[in-house]
Amino acid sequence: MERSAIFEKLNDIFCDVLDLDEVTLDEATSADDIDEWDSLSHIQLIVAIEKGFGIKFSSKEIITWKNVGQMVDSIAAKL
Amino acid sequence: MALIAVPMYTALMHNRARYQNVWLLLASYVFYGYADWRTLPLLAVTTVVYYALGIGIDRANKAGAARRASWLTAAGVVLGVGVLFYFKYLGFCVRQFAELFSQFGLDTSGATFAIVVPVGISFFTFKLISYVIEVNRETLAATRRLDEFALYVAFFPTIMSGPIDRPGQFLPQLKQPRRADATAIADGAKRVLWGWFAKVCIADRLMPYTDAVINNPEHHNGASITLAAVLYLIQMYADFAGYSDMAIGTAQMLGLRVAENFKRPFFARNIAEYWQRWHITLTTWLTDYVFMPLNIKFRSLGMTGLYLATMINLLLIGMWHGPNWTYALFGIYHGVLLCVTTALDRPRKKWEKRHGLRQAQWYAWLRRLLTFVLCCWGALLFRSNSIGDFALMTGKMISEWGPLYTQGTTPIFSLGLLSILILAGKEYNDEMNKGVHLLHNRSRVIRLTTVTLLVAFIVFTGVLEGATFIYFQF
Amino acid sequence: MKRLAVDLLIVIASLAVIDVVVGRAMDCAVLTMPPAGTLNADQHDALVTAVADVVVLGSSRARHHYDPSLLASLPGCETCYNSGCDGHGMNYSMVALEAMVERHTPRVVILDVSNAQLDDEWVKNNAIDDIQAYYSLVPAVTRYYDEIAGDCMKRLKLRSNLYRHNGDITWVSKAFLSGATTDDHGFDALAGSADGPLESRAFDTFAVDSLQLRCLDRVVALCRDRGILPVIVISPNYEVCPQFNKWMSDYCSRHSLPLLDYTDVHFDEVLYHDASHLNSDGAERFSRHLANSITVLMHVATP
Repeated sequence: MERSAIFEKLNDIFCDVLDLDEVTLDEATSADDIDEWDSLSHIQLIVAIEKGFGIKFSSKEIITWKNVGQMVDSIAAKL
Repeated sequence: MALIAVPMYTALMHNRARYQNVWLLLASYVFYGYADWRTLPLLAVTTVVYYALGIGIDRANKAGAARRASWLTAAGVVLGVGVLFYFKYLGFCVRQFAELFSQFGLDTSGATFAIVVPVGISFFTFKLISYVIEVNRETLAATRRLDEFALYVAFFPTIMSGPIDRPGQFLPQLKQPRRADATAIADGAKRVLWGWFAKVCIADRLMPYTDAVINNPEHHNGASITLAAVLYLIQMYADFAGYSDMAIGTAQMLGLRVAENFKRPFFARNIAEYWQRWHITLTTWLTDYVFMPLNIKFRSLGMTGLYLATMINLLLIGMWHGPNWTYALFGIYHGVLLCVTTALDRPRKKWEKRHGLRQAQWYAWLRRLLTFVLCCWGALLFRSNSIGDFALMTGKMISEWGPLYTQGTTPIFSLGLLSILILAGKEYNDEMNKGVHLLHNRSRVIRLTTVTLLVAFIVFTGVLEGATFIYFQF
Repeated sequence: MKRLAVDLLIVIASLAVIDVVVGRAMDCAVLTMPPAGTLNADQHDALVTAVADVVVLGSSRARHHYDPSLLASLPGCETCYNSGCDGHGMNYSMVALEAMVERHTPRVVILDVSNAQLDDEWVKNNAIDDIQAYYSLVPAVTRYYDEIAGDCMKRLKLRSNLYRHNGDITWVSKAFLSGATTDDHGFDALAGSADGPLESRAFDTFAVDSLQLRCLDRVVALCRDRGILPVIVISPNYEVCPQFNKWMSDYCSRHSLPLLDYTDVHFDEVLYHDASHLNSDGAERFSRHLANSITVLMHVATP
């Protein structure tokens, strides 16, 4: 899957889980940039992403993510 | 201690970082040895062991041997927890088992299991554990300098009672030589002064009252107990935040930055926010190394998983304070409050939006008051000598009221209250960004006047003889 | 850096000025306190103003048991002052006596003793430092800290007026603002009886503290020097320490001191306020009895 496609799908998932009308995601976006993205919704996002892409992350991967770019790297690696 | 270390340290200011580090390390060991020389070997040995573990994990990761790295990390975690458990909780567990057995008529006549709890053990073991975990996560390279690592673990301002620094924040600072900086020394000194004020004018001033009431609940009525609960929460805050300020200020004078531990917790609008402002280094430690990993493990369980992780997390926070059922129950209490807060989070926000309450000042203050009240009751539980006492006191708070206990309380209700108002004023100013600055005013005259008056106030009204810091044996 | 050093000097200099100003103000206030009947006010009276022919020394038992109006009319005496102070040991008694003797030599000194004033376990917690406000104002207090207490750090700290008057602002203000002027001569009668039956409590160890012993010796020596009749009394109470009684008895015979031991004299429970203190009725009964005993003693001593 292409990176931009992953971003698009991610965008939908974010809007859905965080209850937003729209959100801008780029490589450097992190939890600091989005109010509704806290440690709580973080887990819900991960579950939704795993479900949405049909993949499973390892704990180590999840813990080391610092921004959306790294998330996309992990997703791309599994597709 | 700072009085000796700082001038000598300053003399070395133009030297290399290594000399400064070694000097501070020596000072730290002397400091710790003076406080508890019997644990000094334990401190030294664990430091070396974890230093070696760090290198081992690093090598394993670089060689691609992820499993070996995991085993070494697990060993580090188990060792740290084991040491902590042995010194702090083993005696308690043994006694509980002995009691349990005696219920069944089995008399375990062993010597009363009393292990002396080494000072600061909960703090330095946590530093060690976080080190191996961070190295394993590859967010930090294992240090090849034992002196720097040893200094990270034993740094004297923070070894006794925190804040619990992360290796990633502290170790890099040791690589650079620290230069004598007048601003840092002045600011650090002012911070120490403020911490001393909080401890000596508030915490030590309130202690005789809270001790008198909470240690003897049978003799006091609901009114006194309620007041004692409120005062105790304030006392605990002044004591711990005061000590943290002194630690952070001392480190600042030495040119080192230490993590913040408190952020005006009484302004929190709910319990979740409270725990983001109280004993920050402990809660972030547990969040990063217990809560988040658990959350991730339980993610398939949805909200139930979250609640489970929350309960475990808060239970650990409670039990970290010591081997007592009151601490466990305290953890459970806050765990439940936090779960409720989480469950109601979305509905609450929607409701607030609908009724236009999000910006309402009175509403924010109402929430703060409610949070404060909940925390006071929790603080009473925390301080109770037994769950039975807590039940008795709670009962009295509901049913038995009357005149306040006021024996010998004039200094508390006058000087103590005045000091609390001063503290509250400063915190209100800082929280609401009112922009009034005294200690850090632009005018030199105001700055110096404030410092002078503060010192005079402390010497004239503070409790200068006696009272020890409650968090020492945690 | 230089600026920092200058700032530090300015702060220290300002503190020194404040220290002097506050010191003068507090000294004045402390010395002119009205007799308000509180513990601190009574301490002031004992150390600064009281004069009497009969002086009672001791801790809370002294303060609550000995009625000056009943003890004032011992042979050859007209006035009585009770300088008993809650939670204080022999060191306070010594300082109080020395201060009063500077103004007027009493004829009789009644020293109420208990294990709490002399045992090194108990005495650790005594509140002697509430008299530090009088350091450099009352010679007996100055002498205590300079020569007897043996604490160099304390002496150094007392040089600062702010430190010396630490916490004093509360009780000084209270004394001036309350407007009360009592004339109890240091006595504080306790009202009411205990709720339930009184439990007897026994202490099985007694180890005398060296500082307190030194103070006791000085009290005895002072009485000898000035021709004062010292009477040692062990008050009636439910907390007993047999080793202490024995020790006290030995001490008194060694120094030829009259000892009146009320330990085995059983007062009615209704006369007690709590296990270690008599109430106002008990104090009256006790003081009368004591006055008679001491009168007899005095007639025997000076035939």
